[in-house]
Amino acid sequence: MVVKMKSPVNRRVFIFALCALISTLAIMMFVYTSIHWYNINEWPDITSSEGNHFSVVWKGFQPDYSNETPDYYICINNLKDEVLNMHIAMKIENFEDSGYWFMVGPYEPPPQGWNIEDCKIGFIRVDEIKEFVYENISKVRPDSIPQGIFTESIHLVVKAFRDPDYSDLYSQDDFFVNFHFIDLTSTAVHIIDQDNFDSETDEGWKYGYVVLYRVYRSWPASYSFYHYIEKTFDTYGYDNAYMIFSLYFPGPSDLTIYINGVARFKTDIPIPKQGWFQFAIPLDTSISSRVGIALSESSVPYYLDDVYVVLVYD
Amino acid sequence: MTNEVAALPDNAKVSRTRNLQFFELVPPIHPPGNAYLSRTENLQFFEMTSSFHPPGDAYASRTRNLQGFEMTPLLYQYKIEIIEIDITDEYGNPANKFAKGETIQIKFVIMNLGDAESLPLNQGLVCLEVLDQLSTVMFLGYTFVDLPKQSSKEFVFGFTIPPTAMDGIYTIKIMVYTDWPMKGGIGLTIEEAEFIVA
Repeated sequence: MVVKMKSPVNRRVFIFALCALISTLAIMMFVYTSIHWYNINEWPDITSSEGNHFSVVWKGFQPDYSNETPDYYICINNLKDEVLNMHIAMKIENFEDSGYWFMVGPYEPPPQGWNIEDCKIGFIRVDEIKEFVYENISKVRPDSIPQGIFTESIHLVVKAFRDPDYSDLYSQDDFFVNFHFIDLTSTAVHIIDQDNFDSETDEGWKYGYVVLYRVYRSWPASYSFYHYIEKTFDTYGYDNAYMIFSLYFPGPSDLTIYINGVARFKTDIPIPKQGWFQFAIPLDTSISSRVGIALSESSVPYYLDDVYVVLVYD
Repeated sequence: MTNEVAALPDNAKVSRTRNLQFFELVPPIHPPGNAYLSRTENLQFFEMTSSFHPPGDAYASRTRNLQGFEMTPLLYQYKIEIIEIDITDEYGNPANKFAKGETIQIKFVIMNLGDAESLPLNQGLVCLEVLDQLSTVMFLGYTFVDLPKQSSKEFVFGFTIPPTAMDGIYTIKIMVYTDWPMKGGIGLTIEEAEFIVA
């Protein structure tokens, strides 16, 4: 379309209107692109902290070592106590903009045989990181497990309160912890390897030595060491493999277990005293399992005995 | 012409003691100059408002994954011995023969001979039984005791022989358990002694 302007006044009005239109369009485009640009580049940063602000957030298993195996494994045989007191090492990092009183407890009634009570952690101030052990958890030890292994999960919750009376709830998040119980006497349990050192040989273990008639679970021998021992088990290709072993502690100590050179297990609390303690862990089945047992340095020896590597049939 | 001066006696000596003259100056004159003005620093500071903590989350996590449980203790881990048993009357006089109605006092010492790898006895059960010659329990007394390694404790139990008790040889049994046997406790040691009721 061609518009012919005969009058200079009309031409000026037209030019003015055209400029105004162009300016309006330019402003609209600027505003649109600005909004669009902020949406992409800046507003997400502002809104994300709001959008992700869940307050109490369960972060799962966050060890300072491998996090491949968060579950607990417990062999029910030869234990001293009929009630097993569990210890769960936990950490709360309060990056809220306020301090709160925290509590851990059951989120729903636990499975039969469990007793779980609230544990008040106390006040955790802004930016404080608090590590603690949740101890108010116990389970009546099963007498037997015909199927060899069974798993129970407990449903827990961590809550933040605004007041020291723990009455004004601010926020909470829940989580599960899994426990696998193994019965060595079950017919579903097949022993792949057993080391009791009663042949007076090291049975493939390294960095320790066999002792007789001194300290043992099965008479008369055990395997003595001061800091670290290891053995490779041929667990490749099995559907599952678990190692159950007895360890004598001369005194309180932490225990770290390495699988193929990677720290995979650490005790939630140090072993508290002298005596025999039993442990159970899953092993790798995609490759062989080189198991390393590491303890605090000690001037008196530790002793290993009655090591079982087992396969549990489904 | 100089007046004649008498010579000084030999013991009168004259000397000079200083060597610097000084004289007052005219007042100083300052040459004509300027007054200079300058700035010497370049940093202002101001108190801020209270710091702002952005809204954040409180993170909870687990950090370890290995439970360890104490195993049943084995008998060899305890080295408990009853090292002394004394039977006396109620006044502490050694005796072996008692009449009905008399009180017998049984004193004994338990020792934990444990070495480095043995266990202390924690809340161990110390039990004393008195049996008549038909093995009927005439008296049962017990207590729980902590006995650290390389330590000993003395116990005294008293028992009044009932007037209706039968004559004969009575047996004292002293036993130490880790706990009541029905609760899984294991017997650690036992000693016996005898006395006569007549």
